[in-house]
Amino acid sequence: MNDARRKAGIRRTVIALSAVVVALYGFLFVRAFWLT
Amino acid sequence: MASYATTDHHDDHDHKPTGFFERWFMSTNHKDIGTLYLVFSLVMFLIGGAMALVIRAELFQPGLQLVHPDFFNSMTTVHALVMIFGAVMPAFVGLANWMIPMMVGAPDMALPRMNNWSFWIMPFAFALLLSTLFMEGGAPAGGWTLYPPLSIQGGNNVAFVIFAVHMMGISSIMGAINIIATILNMRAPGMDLLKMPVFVWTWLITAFLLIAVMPVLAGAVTMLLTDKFFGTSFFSAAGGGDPVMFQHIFWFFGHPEVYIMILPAFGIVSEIIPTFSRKPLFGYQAMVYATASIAFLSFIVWAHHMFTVGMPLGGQLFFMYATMLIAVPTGVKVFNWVATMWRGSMTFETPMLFAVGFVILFTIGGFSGLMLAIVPADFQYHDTYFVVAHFHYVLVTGAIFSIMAAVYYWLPKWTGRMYNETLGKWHFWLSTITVNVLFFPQHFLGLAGMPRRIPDYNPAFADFNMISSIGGFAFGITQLLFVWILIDCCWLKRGAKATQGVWESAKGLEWTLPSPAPYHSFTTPPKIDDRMLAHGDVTH
Repeated sequence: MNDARRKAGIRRTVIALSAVVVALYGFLFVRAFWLT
Repeated sequence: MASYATTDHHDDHDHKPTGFFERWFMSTNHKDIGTLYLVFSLVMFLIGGAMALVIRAELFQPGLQLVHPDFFNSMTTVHALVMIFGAVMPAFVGLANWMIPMMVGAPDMALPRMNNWSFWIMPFAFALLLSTLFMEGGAPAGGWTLYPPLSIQGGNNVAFVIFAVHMMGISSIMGAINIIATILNMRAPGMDLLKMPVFVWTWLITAFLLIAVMPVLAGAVTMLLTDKFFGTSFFSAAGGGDPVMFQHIFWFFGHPEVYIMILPAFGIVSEIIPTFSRKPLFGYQAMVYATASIAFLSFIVWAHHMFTVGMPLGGQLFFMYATMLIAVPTGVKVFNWVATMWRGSMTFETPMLFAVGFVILFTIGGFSGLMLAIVPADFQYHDTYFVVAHFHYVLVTGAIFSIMAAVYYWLPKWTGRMYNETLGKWHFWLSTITVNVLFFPQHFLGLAGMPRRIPDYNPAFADFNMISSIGGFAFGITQLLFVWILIDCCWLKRGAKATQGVWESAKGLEWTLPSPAPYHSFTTPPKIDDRMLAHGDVTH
């Protein structure tokens, strides 16, 4: 795997995992503070 | 976006940063950050251990002897938080930092600066947590599970503990993202997923567990915070809330958390047993799938921690059977370890002793876990010393024994020196004997009805408590021997020089590097030769 592809892969992985974390936090906070 | 560890930044030198501050506080090197994590973990292990000794000293005899009951409760609470979040988890992250890049042929972790940040959050989180010991009103005393209403009836320590937990969670999530990004993107060409060492596989799955459950814990403790300080009633029955809801949310985090602390241990043992049995791991793919199965099941068993709160029969049956299902993939693992040893040319150096000790003693903890899974039996065992005995078998003789095994196994690769094998064996045998003297009698205490988290007890429980306390102090003193072995190897460097392979039949990329491993390794990706890999031929 060349370097540019590796960098792009790391970027995609971080964005995807960060999205999961934000979605989980978001769900919990929205559920806790607005949907109760 | 953070910087990336790639091969284009001319690491064709081996210069460490010269200044102490620059090297250890500003480090982006996976080996240095791994060392920081491991040292931090050892310090926390000793602090948490000292708290355990306060507990065992108070319980040496019935009656209130040494400490105030509130302080006793603080000790049980903070001991657990320190050991779980400060000792076991950082030790595994330290091992991941040191070993994963070397095992997959990467020059460093994918996100080295975030790696530094992940570590340096931890000392501040624990400074916050431990500072509560010196506050008016004392440290939290409601148990590590932080169940309301008890946990928020304390003083301002609640806010400190909650912010500490938030920081630990942020550190864990960043560490997990880093590990996943490293494993998915930084493997050397030819290191296919199903050729990776089992330790790397178990960490990949563990990292996904961390990302999934740490936000849940953060949500739960944030709701505690607002209940305490901002007038909400999430968990207050008086305000229309539900304290049992906290238990559900907490254990939705808590049960996967238990596996976060044991899956990397499975990986370590799966590395060590083949080396000292001089055979490939039996059932490599089965090990990977079993790990994934355990991780999946960890999400659907949480309510077995709270059978006694009252739940519909259907719920009890579901959580009971789901819990028992976990014994299947775990049994696969234990079978595979035994089958790996079967007819192998085994030798019993210290890492192997700890690994074999792990297999036997962790299995005892697993079986007592199965007993606790049985709903009608759990009504008797719940909140007794039987539970304490169970989880100390899986966490001390499970997680901590595996960490000890890993340290002895890889220490020569890290330092370039062999540790003192005679003292290592003494450490193993003394630890194994004393840990059983410490925790085995607690099964009997629990079955006889002694509740956990109490500073005083019925005199009928006196004998087993005295035996347990003697075991506790002996185990604690034995760990000082471990500290001495580390000083002797790392600092005084009195051991023999380690060879590149260190162990006769160790396989994997890390053993192709010199000992000690150079500051920058695999700056150009290694050429993968399947014969060098422990699992090189699994796909053929």
